[in-house]
Amino acid sequence: MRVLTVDDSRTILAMLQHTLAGAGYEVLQAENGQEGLDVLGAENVDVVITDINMPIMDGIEFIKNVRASGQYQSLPILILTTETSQDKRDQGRAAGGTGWIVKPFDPDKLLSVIKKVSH
Amino acid sequence: MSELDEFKATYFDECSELLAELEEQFLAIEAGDKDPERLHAVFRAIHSIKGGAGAFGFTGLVKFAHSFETLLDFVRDGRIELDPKVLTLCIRSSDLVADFVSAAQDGRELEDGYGGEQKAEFEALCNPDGAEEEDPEDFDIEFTPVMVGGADLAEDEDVFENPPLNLIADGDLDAALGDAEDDLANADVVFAGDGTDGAPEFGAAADAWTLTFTPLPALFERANDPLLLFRELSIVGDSQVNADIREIPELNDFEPFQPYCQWVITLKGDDVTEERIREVFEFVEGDCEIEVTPPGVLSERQTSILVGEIGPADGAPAPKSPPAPKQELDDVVDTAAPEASDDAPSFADLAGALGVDMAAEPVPEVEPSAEEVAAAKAAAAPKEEPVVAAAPVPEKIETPGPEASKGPAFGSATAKPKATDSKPPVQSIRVDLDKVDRVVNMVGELVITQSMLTQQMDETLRDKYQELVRGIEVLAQTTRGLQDSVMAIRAQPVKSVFSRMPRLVRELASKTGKKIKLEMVGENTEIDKTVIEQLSDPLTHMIRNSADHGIEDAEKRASRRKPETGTITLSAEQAGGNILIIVEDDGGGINRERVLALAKEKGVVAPDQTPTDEQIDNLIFAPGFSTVTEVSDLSGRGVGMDVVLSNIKKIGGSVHVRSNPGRGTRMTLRLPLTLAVLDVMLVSVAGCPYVVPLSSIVETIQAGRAEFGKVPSGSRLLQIRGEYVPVVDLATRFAMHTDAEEKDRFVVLCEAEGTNKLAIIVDEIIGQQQVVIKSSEENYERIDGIAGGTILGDGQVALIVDVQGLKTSRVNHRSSAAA
Repeated sequence: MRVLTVDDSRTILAMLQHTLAGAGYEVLQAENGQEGLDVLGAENVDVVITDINMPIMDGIEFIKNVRASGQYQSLPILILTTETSQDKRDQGRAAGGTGWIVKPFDPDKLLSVIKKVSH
Repeated sequence: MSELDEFKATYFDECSELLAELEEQFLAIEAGDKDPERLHAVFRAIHSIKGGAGAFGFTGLVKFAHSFETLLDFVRDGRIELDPKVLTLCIRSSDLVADFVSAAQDGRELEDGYGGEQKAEFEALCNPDGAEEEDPEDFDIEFTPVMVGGADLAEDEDVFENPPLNLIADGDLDAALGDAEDDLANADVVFAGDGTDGAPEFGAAADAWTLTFTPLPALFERANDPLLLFRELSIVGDSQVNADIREIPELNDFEPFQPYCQWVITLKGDDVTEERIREVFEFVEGDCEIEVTPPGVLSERQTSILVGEIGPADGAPAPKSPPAPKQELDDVVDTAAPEASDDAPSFADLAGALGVDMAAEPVPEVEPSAEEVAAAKAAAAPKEEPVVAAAPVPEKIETPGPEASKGPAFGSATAKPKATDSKPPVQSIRVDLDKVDRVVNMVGELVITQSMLTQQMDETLRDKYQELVRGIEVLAQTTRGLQDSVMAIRAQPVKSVFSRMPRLVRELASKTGKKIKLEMVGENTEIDKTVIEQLSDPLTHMIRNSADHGIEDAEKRASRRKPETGTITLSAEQAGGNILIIVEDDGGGINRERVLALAKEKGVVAPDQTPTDEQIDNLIFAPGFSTVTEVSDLSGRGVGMDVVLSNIKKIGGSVHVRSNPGRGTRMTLRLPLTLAVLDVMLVSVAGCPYVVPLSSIVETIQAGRAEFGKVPSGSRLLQIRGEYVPVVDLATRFAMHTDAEEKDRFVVLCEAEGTNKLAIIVDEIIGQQQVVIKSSEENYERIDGIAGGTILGDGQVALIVDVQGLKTSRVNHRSSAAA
C-alpha cells in the first residue's frame, strides 16, 4: 500500500513518514500540490494525504486537479488540516476530498482513518 | 536520539527557515512590495510553525501563533488593512514567535502572558466587537450528532426537499435481470433482526440499532465507498447489511458514480452508540442520507424501505413479478414480534457478493403490509434530512470519544521541555542542490589544478624546493579527501530506486499471469543522487522487458524444465570507478533470429550484414526497435529499451545485454560513481590531447610490439592472447594526419562492456589524471565517438573518447571474436 503525503512542512512529512512507514506503508512525499501531481503522474498511489496551505499549488487546487484527471476519481484523498474552522475542510471536501485528518494527528487515529478510506 | 527528538530537530530547522522567510517577506512588504503572494507566504509560515508546535505540545507557541495567524488571515482577506501600524505589529509578532520557538528549543518556559499585549491587539483588530475567539487548542473536530428527536411526520414533511428514492422495482427490471436476479430484485424486505421475542413495537429488533443508508452521487465523487463504511461498522458491532438493489439498471445504463442501492443495516453490540455509528459516517455526512434508530425503534422511513413497497397512493407501479412474501403488518405493529421466516429471500448471498460481513445466524424477516406502508410513505413524503426516529432515544449516549486524539500527539503530553536531560539534536541544514554542485565543480577544478601543479614538478624543482614539493603532496592528499567528502554529500543508496521495483514486478506478474519473483542484491550501494534520479525509468523498462519478453509462460517453463516461478534479479555493485546495476532473468533469452530479421526489416542493420550474437542482442536498444509486433500492455511499444540507452548515456553510463538462449538474459548498466569527475588516461593524437576513461582501459601496448592481422574487408585486428580485437586508429577515425611512426605509437586496449574489446591506436600516452567533465551536448552538440570534453590544467581542451560509442559506430565493420 502506497501513501502519497503532500505537505510543505518537513516536520509533518517526517512525522507522517515515521507513522506510516512504521505501519508498513510505502510513503511517497511531495512538498506542494504541483509536486504531488507529478508524483501521481509517475507512480501508483493508493491513498493521498494532503495539506491545504501550500505554496505553488495549494491542497484544494491539487485535489481538484486529481479528481479532474479521470484516472484518479476513486483515489481516497485525506485532507490534513489544523483549521478549527470548517472552512478549509469543506472546501477540501467540495473539491473532492474523501476525508480529513486533524493536525496534530494522533498516530493511531491517522492509521485508523487511512484504513477507513482504503481497501 | 529518540524519534521524537529527531522530529523536533527537523521542526526547529524548519522553524529557523520559516522565521528567516518571515523576515524576508516583511522586509519586502515594508519596502512597498504589494505582491499578495508575500502575505500568503507569511501566513503559510506561521501556519506551519503552529502546526508543528501543536504536534510537540508547545502550547504557548501554538496559542500565540494561532492568534497571529487569525490576524494574518484577516489581513490577507483584506478584512484588515495592512497599514504601517498593523505591519509593525506583525513584524514585532514575528519576533515574538521567534522567542517562543527558541524558548521551546531550549526547553524554557516563557513567563505567562508573554506576547499578551500583541494578542490583545490581534483580538482588538480581528474582533472589535469582543466576541469569543475559538480556543486554539481545540483542534479536534467537535462531533455534533444530528440528534434524533420526536417523530412528528407532519413536521418532517417540510424539511425534506428531495423525494425519496423510488423503492419500487420497475417493470423493466424484470426483463433486464435474469430469474436469479429477479429473486434478489424482489426480495425487498430485509430486516435483519435477531428474532428474539418481545421486541418492542414497529418490529424493530430489541437489541440492535437500525440504520438506513442511501448514498448520494457526491459520496462516490469523493472516493468514499459504502463497502468500506460497512466494514467500519462491523468493527463497531455485529452488523447485518442488507442491500436494496432494485434500482440497479441494465449494465448499459449503469453509471459508475450513480448510487443505485440503499441499505438497511442492523448493528448489535455493547459499545454501539449513535455517536460511534455517526463517526463511521463522518466523512460522508451530507453525501448520503442516513437514519439511525436505537434498538427497538423503527422509523417510518425504515419501515417503508424494509417493506419495500409503496402502494398505489404514490402512483408508483406495483412490482410486476411476484412480490416477496408478505406478512400482515399486524405481525409487526400489533404483536410487536417479528416473525422469522425461513423461506424468505435472503440477502446473505448478495451481501456476500458485495463483500459484506454477514452475521452467521439466520435472518428473520419482517414484512409489514403494503397498505400500511403506503400510508406511512405518503405521510412521510419528500425528505432531505434523515428521518427522525419515532421512539425516545436511549439515555445512555456516550460522549463521542476519540480519546486518543485529544492532546498533543507523539507522546508529547509527557514531553515537558527540559533542556538538561535531552541530548543536543543532530543539526542538519538544507542546501540547494545547485550549491552543492557548484562546490563539486569547484573541487573538480581544484583537483585539476592540483594535478597540473604536480605535473610541473620536474626533477630539478624537486631537488631545489623540497618544502614546496611536500606542500604540494599534502595539497594532493587534502584535495582527494575534500573531493571524496563532497561526493559523499551527493551519494545515496540505490535502495530508493530499488524499493519501487518489487511492486512493479508484482503488478507485472498479475498482468501477464506469470509467476515472477524479484531478488535484490546490493541495495545499499551508494551512487550519485542525479544518477539515482535517472535510474528509475531505465530500470522500470528493463524489468518490464524481462517480465514481458524474458520470463516464459508456465507451460514453456515446464517444457524447459525450469521452476514454475521465474526469477528476476536486480543487483548493484561497485566495480572500480563504476557502479554496475544488473537486471538478470532466467527467461527464454533473446530470440536472435527474430531480432535480426526485424532489425533488417526496419533498416537498423543492412541486409548484407552478419552481426555477432552479442551485437544482435544489443540491437534491442536501437531506437524504434521492438520485437513484439503487437503492442502489448506492458512493454513493446517500440519505445522503451532505446529510452534506456539514451537515459543511461545521458548520465555517462552504458548498457550491455548478454543473452543466453533458453536460459536467460542479463542486462548490465555501467554507471559512473559521480557525474562530475572522471579518472582518465591522457593521450595525444596528431598533437591534440584526448582522454580515455580509465575505467574502460584494460592495458596499453606499444604498437611496435603488438601483433596485427587483417580481415578481407581491410579492417585491422589486434591479436592478443589468442583473442582478436577490432582496432580503431583515432587519427583515422577523427580524420587527422599524424606524423608519428607506427612502431612508436600505442595501442590502448579498452573494454567498455562485456567481453567485446576494442583497441584504440594513439600517438602518445601522456599520463593519468582526473578531469572535470563538460558535456559536449550542453556546450556544443553530440559528437559521435566523443563523450564530452574537459579543460586540462594548462588550459587546453581535451575531448573524452567514447569507447562504447566508437564500438557501436563500427557495427558495420565485421568483427570476429575468436573467443
